[in-house]
Amino acid sequence: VHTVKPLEGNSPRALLQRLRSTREAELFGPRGRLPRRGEPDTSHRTALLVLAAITVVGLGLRLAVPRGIWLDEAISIHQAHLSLHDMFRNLYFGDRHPPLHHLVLWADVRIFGNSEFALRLPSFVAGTLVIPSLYELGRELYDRRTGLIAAAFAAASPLLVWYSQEVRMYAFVTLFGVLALLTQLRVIRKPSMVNWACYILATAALLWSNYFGLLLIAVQQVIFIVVLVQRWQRGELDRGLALGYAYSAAILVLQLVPLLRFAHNQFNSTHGAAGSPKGTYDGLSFYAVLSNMAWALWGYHTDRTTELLAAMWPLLMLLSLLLLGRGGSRQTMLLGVAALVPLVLLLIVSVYDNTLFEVRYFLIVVPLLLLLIARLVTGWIRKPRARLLAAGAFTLLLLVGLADQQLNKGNPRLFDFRGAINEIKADAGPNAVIAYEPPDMRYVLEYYAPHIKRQPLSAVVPKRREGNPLFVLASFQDNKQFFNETNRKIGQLDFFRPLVRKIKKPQTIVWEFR
Amino acid sequence: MSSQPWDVRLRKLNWEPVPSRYSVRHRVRLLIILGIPLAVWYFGWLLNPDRIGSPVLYAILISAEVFNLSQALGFWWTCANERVREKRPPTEWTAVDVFVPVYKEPPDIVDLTVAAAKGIRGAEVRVHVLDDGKDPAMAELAARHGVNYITRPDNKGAKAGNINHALGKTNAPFIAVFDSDHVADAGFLEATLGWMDDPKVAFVQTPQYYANTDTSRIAAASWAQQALFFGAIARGKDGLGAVFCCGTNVLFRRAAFESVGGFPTNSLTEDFELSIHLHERGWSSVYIPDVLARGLGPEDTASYVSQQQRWARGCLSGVPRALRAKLPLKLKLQYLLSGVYFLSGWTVLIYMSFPVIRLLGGGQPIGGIDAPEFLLHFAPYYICALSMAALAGAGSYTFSAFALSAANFWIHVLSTIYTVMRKSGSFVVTPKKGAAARQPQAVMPALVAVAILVLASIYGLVRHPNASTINNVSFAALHVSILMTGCWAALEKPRAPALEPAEVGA
Repeated sequence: VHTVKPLEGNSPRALLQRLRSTREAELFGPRGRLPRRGEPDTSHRTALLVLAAITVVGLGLRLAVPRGIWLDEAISIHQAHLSLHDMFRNLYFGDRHPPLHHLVLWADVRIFGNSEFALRLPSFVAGTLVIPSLYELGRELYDRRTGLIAAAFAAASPLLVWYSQEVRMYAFVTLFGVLALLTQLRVIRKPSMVNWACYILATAALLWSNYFGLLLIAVQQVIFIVVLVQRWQRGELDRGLALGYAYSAAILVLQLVPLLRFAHNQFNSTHGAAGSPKGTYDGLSFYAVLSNMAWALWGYHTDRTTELLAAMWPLLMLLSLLLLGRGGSRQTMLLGVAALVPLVLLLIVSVYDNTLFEVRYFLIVVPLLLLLIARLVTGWIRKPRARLLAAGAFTLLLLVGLADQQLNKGNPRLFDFRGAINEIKADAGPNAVIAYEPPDMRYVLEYYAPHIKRQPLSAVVPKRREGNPLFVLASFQDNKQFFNETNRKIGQLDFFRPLVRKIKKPQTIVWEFR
Repeated sequence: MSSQPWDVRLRKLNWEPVPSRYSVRHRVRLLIILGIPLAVWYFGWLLNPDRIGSPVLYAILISAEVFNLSQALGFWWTCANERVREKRPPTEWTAVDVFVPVYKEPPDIVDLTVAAAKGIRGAEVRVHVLDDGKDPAMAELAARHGVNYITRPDNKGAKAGNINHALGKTNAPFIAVFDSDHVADAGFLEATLGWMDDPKVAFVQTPQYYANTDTSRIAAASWAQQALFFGAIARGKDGLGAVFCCGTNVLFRRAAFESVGGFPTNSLTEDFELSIHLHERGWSSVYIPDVLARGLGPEDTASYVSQQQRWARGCLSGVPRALRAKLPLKLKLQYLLSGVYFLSGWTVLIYMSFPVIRLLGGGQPIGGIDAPEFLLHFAPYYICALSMAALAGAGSYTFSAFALSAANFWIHVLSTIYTVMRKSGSFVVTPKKGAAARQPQAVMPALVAVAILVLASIYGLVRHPNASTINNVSFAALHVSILMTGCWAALEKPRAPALEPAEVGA
């Protein structure tokens, strides 16, 4: 049923309006109040065209990187420059992540070089692929229209953009998480060899990208078991599905044996990250949950903005009331379970180690939440124009959040090491020395200032030596230990050497002594 | 005049009276195991004297919260005792008087009702149109259908008096009552009459289903409220032996009726009081959850308001009667729960007032805590209580239903005041057709509340744009969203009547 009324006349304006109406109707359903199930879906061709446009825009937003490399990224880059043997050794004894992203980065460095663009390339690619993958998941679960709206949200999502730009494994986790769900859905619907192979590959990639992928994989195992038991109870047990599941579970176990041994050694050898962004590790509380949820949807913002966002929690009560009487379909239940259960599991784990309740560890939940919101738009709003308005308004909100996240210097996750080191490089002579705090800053300096002599701040002996400028580069000053160490040394240096200037960059301070 | 072929009352049923997928009783019991500790967790924290902010506001908050808790516990208790009865056909041939009380309703609405009543199977059916409107068209309608037409010289006691009058003019051992818009299923008696084999049963009540939910936003929201009552609540009341008569779609035993002198005529909700009388006399009641008649819900806000005012006045004035009644404790509690439900508008008023007071620079009920601490205690209880309503309603209770009820908070407030002042009310029949114009007057108190909330928010944001203000503005936004949803039907242009014929089926 197509209810778009053709306009009278053939003027260019009328033609344009007719085209716009058709497109709008095609994308966002027919006008009028037809039941949702009776609406025609967006056509295949239009969907592909719109998806391509959304993906290009999403790629553009990801390529516009306004920040430099930060500490964790610098560590990954350092590891990627080692020989394969040394890199694994380094990971085994000095890291807390599985090796897939490191391997890709290792190859990437050797193929594309050491520029920031080249280093971010794997994340750019994975982060951009999340957009069509989410569309496909939305299409598989609901319809093309929902998939397109979800893809638009993913393109503009501040947090997805942020981690698509980071030289870390989180964009991989997001992509492989979405793919794992998509392939699982396909396997349940059609347990062919190809679908099983795709599912096994996607979950393996997820698992070898980040240990938290296990949370989603655990949920998937429960979903498989529930489906199998239900079909068995109805006498419709599919042998292909049962056998495939048995194989996939066996392959999963085979992967877990070496991986868990690897992880066990890693966690025994290391004691957490070198530096921790403030705001999340202060302790597990409702505020931490609220602020992480606000970040998950709207990206990183200044503490004040986050506080204001968290203060809007009564609106969640409105959402809970709006959900009354909204019959959750099986698809939405599946999506809800896949989004919420890993979150709850992480919350439970975080009771024992509150540093774990950190938004990047449940990044996989973000595209699923976006898909749920897209479904909310297509499922609840019947009028196409209102639907378009709602989808547009939410995308606009995401873009505002993205702009603030990317451009606001008060973003607590923004560490302007590049800016600070550039300032140092401009003034540093051949004999300049950089003293850094915390100790892992050496990796950042290794990347941005490989030719300048450097040493940890703790190793500096404060005495006057004419002609050798000394720069102190300090960050993570909200960490008491690092702050005290920096403060003590700066006091001592100030006694022996004249302080020429102090430069403040986001989350970074430079003192220049002569 | 004959009924239009696309009469909504002939449309397919749009409700599953008893969820087929799961047992509400079992699920509610499971949730209660979770809900009671969560309620203790929240109230144990809330009632700690350390929480007192402004003492007066705190006392008001506690009153509201305790009232809501009592309603929630009552709801859980009721639903946990669900009893699902099957239809029971009659075991012997008998006569049934079918009453269709009428008072100035449009004949085209009554036409189908009478036609359907005439078609009821399972007994010797004698249909009587009880016309308090003394409308010649109604007399003509009755004649055309070949049914009895009864009028009386006065309209004393409104609907109750009308039925009582007809009692003296008829003599079948059983009486079925259908409101003028309720189209009975032909199998009505085949489903209910068998339960009268138990001589203690005074009446068999069935759901009051609204068939016009697709054509009216108000009817849809109003039905969603009804669906919760005629779903889990009514089945639970049946399990507790506390079903009360709802005035329509009900089968009475004449002997029971006569034992209490018919309907009480001094009440606005004669059915509620009649039930108390009957239960006091030791009669029992039965609830069949199947839809056996389809009626029309209020189609516009003014009609809804009028209906709710009548129910609120009637039930609140029935509270003292329930308190005095010589009934087993569980029955008394059930009547009280139903009666005092109509005080819940006060809690809406109270919750709306808190952000306004805070934004205008006043105090707050709870002091010395931060949001995370409050949420840690409140959120689990809130989520559990909400889940219980969603589960018990099997998805039929909607946000629109909640919003419509909340936006008419003032009805409860006004009804309480009138009841306390013993101001008399009059029985107003709920109009069966929607108004053709917007009805802002019908929601004026809610609109005033919206204006106050918005103005207080603006004032607060201009004065102190901090997190505390944002929190209270968010609360205000929550209330404004609820109120505006509830008011929307009165503010939007009424829909044109449907032009297409409906799908006819069972």
